Amino acid sequence: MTWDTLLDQMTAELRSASPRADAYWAQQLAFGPVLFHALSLRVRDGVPADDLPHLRRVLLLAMRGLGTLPEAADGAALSQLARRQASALASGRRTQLRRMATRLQVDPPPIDVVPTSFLRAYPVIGWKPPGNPPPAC
Amino acid sequence: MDAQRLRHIFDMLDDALTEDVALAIRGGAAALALGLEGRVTMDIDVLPASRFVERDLRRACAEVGIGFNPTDKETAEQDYLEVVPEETLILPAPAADRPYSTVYRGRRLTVTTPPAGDLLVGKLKRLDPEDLADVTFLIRRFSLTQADVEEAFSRLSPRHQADPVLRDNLRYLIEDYL
Repeated sequence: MTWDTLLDQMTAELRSASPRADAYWAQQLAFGPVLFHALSLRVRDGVPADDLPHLRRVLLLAMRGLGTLPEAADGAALSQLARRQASALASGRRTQLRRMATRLQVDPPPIDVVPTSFLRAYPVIGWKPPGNPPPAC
Repeated sequence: MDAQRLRHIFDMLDDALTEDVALAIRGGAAALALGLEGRVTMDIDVLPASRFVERDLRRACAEVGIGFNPTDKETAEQDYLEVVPEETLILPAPAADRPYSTVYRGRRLTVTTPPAGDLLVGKLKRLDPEDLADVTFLIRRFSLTQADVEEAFSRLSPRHQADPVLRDNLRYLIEDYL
C-alpha cells in the first residue's frame, strides 16, 4: 500500500460518513507523522471538487483537535502543559472558569470544542501505510 | 530500522571492521541519527565521498547481518547499506563554514551527516510524504530559515539549480514549510 492508496481510502471513508470517519482521519492529520504530508502533496496537485467539502471538514476538525496551546519548538514544555491541560479539563476547569467569568461580568472567549466522538483516541498511522514494508529513503 | 537499531548497527560494524572507515550518510538514516523519533527506514544511504575499503565494509556488513548495495531494493528483507551513485547524487557542495556533523564515533567507524540545510535540499527531487516529514523535523530541530535553505540550494551544481522539479519543490517548501 502507498500513501496515495491510503488517501483514496480516507476520502472514500469520509464520503461514506461512517461513524469513525471524521474523528479517525482528523486524528491522523493532527497527530500522525506522515499522513499530513501525503495530503499536503495531493492538495498541492489539486483534489477533485467532490472531495473538497470532506477534506475541509476533517481539516478543521484536526485543527480544533490540536487545541489552543501555542506552537513552540520546546516540546518538553508543551508536553508538560498538555498533561496539565488534560488533567484540568478532566476535572471540569473550563466550566468552572466560565462560571467565574459570568460572576466577574466578563465574556469568556469563544472556544471551538471538538465533538465527544473525537475523544476516542485511535492509533496513529506511523511512518508507513499499514501493510507495507518500511519505506526506503 | 529505528534510531536504536541504527546505533546498534554502527556498534556492530565498528566491531567487525578491520580498516578505518568514515561514512557520510544522508536520507532517513541521517534523520534518525540526528534524533528523529518514531521514524523507520531500511537503508543507510552512504555518500560517495565516504572513505572505506569496499571489500572490508562488504564483509563487515555480511558479518553483522545487513545488506550491502542490494541489487533489488524493492524486495530487500533486511536493512542494508547503499552507496549512492555519484551520477544520481543531488547534494550541495560542501562549504568550509558549514561542517558535517559527527553522529557516531567508534574505534574504526566514524559516521557524519551533511549540515541540515544540505540534507533538506537533497530531498527536494523526490519530496515524497516521508521526505516532507523529515524536512519538517530538520527545519524545527535546526531552526532552519529561508536564507539557510536558499544558501544550501545555491551550492548545488548549476544543472541541478536549473532543474524545474527542484526549483518548484523549493518554492513549495518555502511557501508552506518555512
